[in-house]
Parts: sequence; C-alpha cells; structure tokens
Amino acid sequence: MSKARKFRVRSRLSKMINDPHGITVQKALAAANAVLPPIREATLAQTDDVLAEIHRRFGRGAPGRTSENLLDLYKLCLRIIDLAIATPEIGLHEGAHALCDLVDLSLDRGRVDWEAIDVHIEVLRLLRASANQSELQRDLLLMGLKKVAAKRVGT
Amino acid sequence: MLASDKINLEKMQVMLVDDNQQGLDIMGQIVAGFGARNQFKCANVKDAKDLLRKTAVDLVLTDAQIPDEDGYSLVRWIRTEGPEMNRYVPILIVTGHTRRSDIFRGRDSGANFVVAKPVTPRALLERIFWVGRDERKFIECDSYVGPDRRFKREGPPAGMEGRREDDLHGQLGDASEPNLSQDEINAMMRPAKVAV
Repeated sequence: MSKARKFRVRSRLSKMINDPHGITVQKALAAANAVLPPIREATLAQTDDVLAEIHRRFGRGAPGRTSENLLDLYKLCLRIIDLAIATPEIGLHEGAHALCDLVDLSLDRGRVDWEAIDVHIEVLRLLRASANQSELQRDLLLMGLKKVAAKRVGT
Repeated sequence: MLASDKINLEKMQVMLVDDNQQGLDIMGQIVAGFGARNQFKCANVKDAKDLLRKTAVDLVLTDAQIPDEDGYSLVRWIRTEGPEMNRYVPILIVTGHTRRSDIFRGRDSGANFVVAKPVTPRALLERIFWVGRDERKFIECDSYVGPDRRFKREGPPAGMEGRREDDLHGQLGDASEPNLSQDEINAMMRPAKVAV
C-alpha cells in the first residue's frame, strides 16, 4: 500500500474570510442577488426554446425519437438546470435533474423506458406552465414524478 | 455564515471555467457582487491550464461537464501536475447532474467541494466561506491528492491498521485509570468562591 503524506495548507482565501475591512455578508448577497432579476425573462425564454426542442426530438409521438442520441436529451436537461439559476422557485431544475437520472440509468442499462421519459417531459411542461402557481402545486408535481420514477425504474 | 460576517475578496484572483458563455457571465457577475473583480474566465480546460501555468489564483470555480476535457480532469491535473503555486488552491466543482460513472471521479478529483446547480448566490458564498475555513488536511499519495475525503473521524475499519500516522488505534479509549466517582464529578461542577 502506498504511503500517504498528510499536511496542512493555509490558503490565501482563508485570510480573506472575516477580514474586518471587508463588506458584510448581507451586502455581498444583496449585490449578487441583484444580478438575477434582470435576466429572469431572458432565461425563461431560453428555457422555453430548450423545452420545445426536447418535445420536438424526444416527446411522445416525435418521429424518429428512438434513433435520436439519448445523450443529447441529457445535455438539454443540463441546459435547463443551468438556466434555472434565475428561477429556482419554479422547480424546473428538479424536474430536469430527475430526467437526467432516468436518462443516465437508461444509458447504463442499455434500454429506454419511453413511457417514463414521456411522464418526465410532461412534468417539465407542467412545471413551466405553473410558473406563477403555488409552491404546493410545484411540490405535488415533483412528488408525483418521484413516485413514477421509483416505480418504473425499480429504484 | 452570519449576515454580519465580513469578507474581503477585493484582492482575490478567481478562475471561472465553463464552456457555456452565458453561465460564465452570470457566475462572474455573482462573484463580482461578492467583491471579487479579478476574474479569469476560461471556456475550456486547455485555456484554464495555460493560465494556471502562468498566474497564481486564490479560488477555482469549474463546471464539471465541459466538452473534450472535463472539470474533474482539470482538478486532477491541478493537484498532480499543475504548477506548485496553484497545487493546493481551493477548488469548487459546479455540476447540474453527476452521472453514475462520474460520482467517484468527483470524489477522487481532489476538489474541496462539489456544488449543485443552480447555484444561488447564498449557496455559493456559503461554500466560499466553508472552503476558506476548511481545516481538513491535504492528503498526498499515489492515487489521490487533495483535501482529506473523510468528513468524519471514525478511524480505520475494525481489525485494520490505519495508513495515516494519526489514525486512531483500536485500543485507544480503554481506561488506564479508575473512573471518577460521582462525588468527584459533582465537585468539578459545583461553583466555588475563589480568593483573588
């Protein structure tokens, strides 16, 4: 077995934390949070484009979806997660994450459960449509999705 | 992290790595809001490596999924082959989803922490504080270089000797003296006047 060397490292970053000449966490967060509202509408519009592409290429009834590269669906879901930075309250990133899980499992197992994928894509659509609805509705959608995922994939 | 805690990132040199330009810009704006305006943005791992060979940075934020060569690979390079000035730099990997095949790569890359997207400003600042205060020692061995991956101090598995010199021995904890009596314990807790 190889020998392990263990040692402490004091980073320059550690000296910047709690510097009395710095700004408060409250101010830092206020400044950073101010970045998000101006990009909200633009990221939602881009999300709509991604959802449309998912539906067009992988949705129920999409011609030739079985010959599409499933990894592309995975990457489109990652894009939705990226874009959710300004709208985390909608829960799209959670729906996309669940679909990433499903696609990853499908790729590992070498078989695709298209019915489960249809459900996940439909939930993404519903989450987007419910963007202005209550947190309870969002939670109910995501809870239902988890039950479907557990049942279909056997996890 | 308290609202009143202070942070001074004016002089911090931060590297941001993401193949998505929009993601890079947004992350850059958030980090600038924290006061960190000395930023190096790279759209791929090759550019990141070129920059790290020439410039000392204080924090690396890298996306995990980057085409050609990914964030895990970048982190491993920093820890094992990168220049000495950046060998132990705090690194946060940011990921939207981790494929099963990448879970161990993430754990074994040598990053200080993996942060899930979407990264809210609060979550990111908390992680920066956490990494700045991280007291875990660095481990360097043939198969791994990075912060100690053990977050708990549980010692080696039963029946095995640990490889690290400060791993607890199985016999540690056996009493070497009689236990204190209840009266002795009570006496330690009772307040008493002290002659000044």
